[in-house]
This record gives sequence, C-alpha cells and structure tokens, in this order.
Amino acid sequence: MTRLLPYLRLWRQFVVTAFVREAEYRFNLLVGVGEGLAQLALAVLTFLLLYQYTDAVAGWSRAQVLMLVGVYRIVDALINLQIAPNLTSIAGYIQRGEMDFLLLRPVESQFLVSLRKLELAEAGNMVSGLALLIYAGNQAHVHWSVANGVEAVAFAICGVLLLYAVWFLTVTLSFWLVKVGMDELFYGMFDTGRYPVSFFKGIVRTVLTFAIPVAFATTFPTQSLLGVVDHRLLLVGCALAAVGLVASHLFWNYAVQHYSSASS
Amino acid sequence: MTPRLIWRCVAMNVMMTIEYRGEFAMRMVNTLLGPLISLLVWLTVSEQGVRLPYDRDQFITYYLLLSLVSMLTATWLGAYLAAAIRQGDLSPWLLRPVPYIVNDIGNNAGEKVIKLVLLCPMVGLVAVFLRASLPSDPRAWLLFTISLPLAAAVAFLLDFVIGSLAFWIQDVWGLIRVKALVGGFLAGQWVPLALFPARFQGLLQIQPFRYTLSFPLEVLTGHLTPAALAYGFAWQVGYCVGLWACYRLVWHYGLRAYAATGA
Repeated sequence: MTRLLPYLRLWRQFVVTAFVREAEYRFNLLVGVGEGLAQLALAVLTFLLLYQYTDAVAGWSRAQVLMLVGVYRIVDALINLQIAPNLTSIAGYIQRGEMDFLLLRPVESQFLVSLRKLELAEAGNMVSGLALLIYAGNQAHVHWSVANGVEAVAFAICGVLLLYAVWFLTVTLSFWLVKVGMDELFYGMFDTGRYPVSFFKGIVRTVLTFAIPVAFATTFPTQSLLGVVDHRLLLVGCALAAVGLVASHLFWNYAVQHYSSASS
Repeated sequence: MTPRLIWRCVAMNVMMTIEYRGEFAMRMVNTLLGPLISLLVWLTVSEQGVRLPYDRDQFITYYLLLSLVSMLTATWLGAYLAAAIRQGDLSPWLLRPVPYIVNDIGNNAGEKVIKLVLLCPMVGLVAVFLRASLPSDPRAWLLFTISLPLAAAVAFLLDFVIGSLAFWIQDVWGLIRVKALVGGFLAGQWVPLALFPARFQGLLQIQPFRYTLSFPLEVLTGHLTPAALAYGFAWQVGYCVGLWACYRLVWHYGLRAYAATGA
C-alpha cells in the first residue's frame, strides 16, 4: 500500500493538470461536446434504420440494442478520457527520442506512459451515454437492481482493462516498428463493440469475445443489466484481464530493455 | 495548371507515401474493416428472413466496394489548407508558378495510388472468402468508372472550398469535423441510402454527399432506372461544376482578404 500511495498522488496531479489545460481551451470543449452528441445521434439513427425492417435482430430488441449503444458510449468515453490520449502518443515519443526522458523518471515507465494525459471533455460523452442507457433501459422494461448494476460495472472494468492490455501490447511493438501506426487498427476493432456479439457468427464472434475482447466491454455489461448474462463469464473476464495486464507489463519491460534510444 | 505539373506532384507524393507503407497498410485494413462489420450485421438481418431492399449479393457488392470507393474519394486536406491559411504557410505557395490546389491534387492522388495497391488484394481476399458474385453487366461497370472520378472530384472540391473559408473564419476545423461526421452518414458510409425511409428519398437524392460516395455504388448495385441514372449524373456533374466555380470565386476574393503573419 505504501508503494501505491505515491502513484495515486501522482495520478491526482495528472487530473489537476488536465483540468487546468482544459480550462484554457473552453471553445474546444464546447465543440468536443457537440461532436460527441452528434456521434451518439448518428449511432442511434443507424440502429433506427436497421430496426425499421424488423423487431429483433439475433434476439435483441431495438430498446435493448440502444442500451448497448449507451454502454458503448460510456466505455468509449472512458477509453478516450484516460487511455487513448496516452497510447496514441507512445509511437511519437519513440520517433522523436522523447522516450528517454520518460524512462529517466523515478516511477514505473508503464504507469507514466499509460496515464499521464487525460481528455476530460470526454466526461460529457459518459453522461450522454448514461442518459441513453437509462432511457433505453426503461423502454426495454429493465428491472434495475444493485446486483445487476455492480456486475455490469465489473464486466465493463474487465473489458476496459482487457482492451487496454491488447492495445498496449500492440503499441509496444512501436519500439521495433516505428513507422507502423497500430492505433487506427485498434479503433477499427473497437468499433465492433457497438453491436452485440451475437450479431456476428462463427469465428468472428469468437475473435470478438476472446482475442479482441470487445464483448466484455459492451455486450456482457448490457446483458447483466438485462439479467440474461452467464455469470461464469465474469470469472473468465477477470482471469483474462489479469493475464493481459501481466503480459503487457512483461512485454513492455522486455521492449524497454532492448530500446536503443534515438538521441543518446 | 499544366498536366505535367500535376503529374510531378502526384509522382512526388507517391514516393513520399511509399516511405510510410506500413502505416498505410494498417489504415487500409481499417478502411476495409468498417464496411465489413456493417456488411456482416446486414447479412445477419437478411438471413433471418427479413425482407430488405437489397439482397445478399447487393449487400456484398455495396459494402465490399464501399471500402474501395470511400478510399478513392476520401479527402483530408481541407484541415491542412485551413491551417496553412491561418498560420501563413500559404505565403510561399503564392510565389510559386503553380496554384496551391495542384499540390493538394498531387497529394490526394499520390497517396491513393499506394493505397489502391495495398487495398485491392485485401478486398479481393474478402471477396473470395464471402464467395461474392459481383455484377456482370459491363454497362454498370462502365457507368461506375465514369461516376467514380466525378465523386472524387465533388468530395475533393467540397473539402477544399470548406477549408478555404479559413480566409475569413478562424475556426473552420469545427465545420470540417461536423462535415466528416454528418457527410459520412448522408453519403451512405454506414447504411446504404436506398435503405432509408421512402419519405426522405427525395431529399437524399439532391444533397451533395450522395454524389461523393453513394452514387457510384448505386450505379453498380443496379437498382436505378435509366431516368434515375440520368438524373443522378446530371446532379453529379452539376455539383462538380458548381463547386469548381465556388473554388475560383472563394480564392479570387480570399487571396485579397489574406493577411498572413510574416507575409
């Protein structure tokens, strides 16, 4: 615990710095929030277009899918708030030789490169996602309960950690493949999270559940709220998240040891 | 604006793009991935026995070629142009014996040469995997190859004109981002326009974004009557000419309003 405390204090400082920066660019904030709302509206419209032809797709009603769109929005905002701003910068640190200065600091370098930047405007998207989730949930006649809510949050956390681990593993490859942008690919994969995994079949569904684990981030939390999830999946999720995090840390350390810097 | 100048700019950009082939390959995977996901969802709906305006082959044709067409008609230079105007990077270009737009045409076309080389094999692989049966009517393909460069021109000019508004407006990039978002939706990037409700079809057919992406694909999927084809081509050519006129007008007055830092 005493080892953890300085890290918590450091993270709090990251948040404060992000606040100060955000207050400086208030117009940006406004545009960002407007863009987020437009994105959500278009996502909802896409499903309204789909559901004008049918009442259910792969067992999901329109209201249930819109709940999932809300969950997707929340998780997406969480990733864009804390994870994306950092992971999209790492390749640049290596290209420009700035990684050296990050490695010199007396804290875990993975902590520093993963959590240093925050995009606080994304909090607006979390709120709009939550609003859609509650509205669509009422339409779907969900019986809200604390137990289901806690389980949904647990699934979502597992999902976010898993996505972080997978993304971080690919970003770590930048030490060798300096000119290959892995971020685009990650965003493309994560886009599939806006659909329930049961919309896909066979190998694609398996990949989206375990290899690129978007199912844990969006489908399973929604199913928890609907009370139809297989509870054992939560254990699988926790185990996968633990393995993913350890693997990302080991691979990062390996990469750093083999890093011949650009400038020194 | 001689063809030779454009050719030099294209060739230069091809070389620059080759340098970043790895990154571009990744982007092409992503370009294919988005439409592919939409396709799988619509195929699931279709296989449930739901009656849809498109059948299985039409969906595959639409979304598979959507990746190619969206790549070939993509634009990204409006934001750079706006930044060049705001920060004064435009100034050196005004001294050169070639209009600024030639550089952008070269960059746009040059990158696409490499992207096409990277994307085509991927699309081919997926087509084989899905056992796609693409349209066999040579007339449809001929019309497609005519409307495709027109679509690229409409998209490019629209982006260029919006970027040029930076001559007068400080924050064009907000407009550019909204255009990318709403324009993609109205261009059929996610859902084919033919699947929108009937009461919106009249409006959808006359808005410019249809002619940046959807129209070539509609021509190919082959549900347009000869009259609708003629109507569509008339609008597409009209937008092309109209936007070119806008570009000339905006730059004619814009350069007079341009007061660059350090100029």
